[in-house]
Amino acid sequence: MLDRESSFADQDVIELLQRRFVPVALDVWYEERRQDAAGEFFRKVVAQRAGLQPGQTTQGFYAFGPDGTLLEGWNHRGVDRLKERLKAALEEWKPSVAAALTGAVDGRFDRTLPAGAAVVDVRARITEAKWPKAEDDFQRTLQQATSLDHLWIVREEVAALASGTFPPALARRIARFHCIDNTRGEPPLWEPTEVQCCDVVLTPDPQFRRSSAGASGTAAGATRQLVDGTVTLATADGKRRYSARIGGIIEFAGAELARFDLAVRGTFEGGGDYTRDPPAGEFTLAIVFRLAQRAKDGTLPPAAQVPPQGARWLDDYLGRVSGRE
Amino acid sequence: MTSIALLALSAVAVLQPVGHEGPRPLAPADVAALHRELLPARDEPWQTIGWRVDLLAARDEAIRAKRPLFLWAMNGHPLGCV
Repeated sequence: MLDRESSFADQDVIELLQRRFVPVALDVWYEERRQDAAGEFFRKVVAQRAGLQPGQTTQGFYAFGPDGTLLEGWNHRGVDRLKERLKAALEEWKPSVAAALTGAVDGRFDRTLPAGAAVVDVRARITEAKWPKAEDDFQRTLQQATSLDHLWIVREEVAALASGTFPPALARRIARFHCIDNTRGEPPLWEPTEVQCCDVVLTPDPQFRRSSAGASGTAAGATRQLVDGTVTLATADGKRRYSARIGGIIEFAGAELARFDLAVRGTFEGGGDYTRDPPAGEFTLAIVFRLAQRAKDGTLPPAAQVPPQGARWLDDYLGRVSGRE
Repeated sequence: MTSIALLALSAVAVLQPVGHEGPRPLAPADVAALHRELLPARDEPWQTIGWRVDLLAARDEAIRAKRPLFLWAMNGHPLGCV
């Protein structure tokens, strides 16, 4: 989040990347594990970074040629450093011959969007909290941060929503994988046993008029449902917990999911290994959901093509198994 | 005696943690207000860069365009996750 708001919001950086490079963004969790051409190429590139020890995280920034030759590689934040390294890479860069890399994709790490699934942007922010006084811009930014993740709703769940039922599996997915405080880093997700309550219901919106002809300004076959629910999550020791209410509006145009505006708001407490320094005591965490906007040709923007963080454990995320292995 | 009891009750009320009675329901107006508060009002600058999310497809593109690649790699996808 910090880099999105700082380094990659800088106009010089944006123009350099748009005009002089082919910019790629990846989750190293997948790339370090996958046994296929993409994984091998990734590992070939990052292994050249000076000072990178075996077993150390490969997180960082890399400029390299299509033949895999590293030009610059580093893992420190800072927009000035980023600009210097990009310019140095361009000075070093000489086009070379590189053949296409082919081969079967390692299916264990394939996260292609399931056919017919909907993609929803999910953003979270701490809206009320007792924060310690921020000592620098870094802390100030973290305290005001809004996270971004994505929710997948599979085809069968879209159909259930259209028929007026909020699928329990979708409610649990929202609770376990999206009712999280990911505003300061990669957070712990909720285990099945940590879901104490997760009830979400739909009711037809009495204010919304159905029209078979569409003459009243309402599209033919359009429906609107109101969402209401509660979710209570807690670790066994009670040190991390979230008690929240869910509300929202879901609309269909025929069988097409046209609107999925949800919000979750409640009282959170605690942090995780990579989300340290939460606010003191209880704080208010708000989370909003909205369908990812597609281009006119139906394609999703790059960020919305990124699988949900919880989809690392795909079978658990989609409710095929219970619990992460 | 009554005054003391009222004072004690007031103190208890003040000391109750936030959300003691459970979170309030979210009406459509509350949902809309939270959306206004949390959703970006315009395209975020980092989204205009044109990130690719497939390494080999980006590599093929770089070969054709005779450009170097730039990789932003994080544990947790840089364009999502946090």
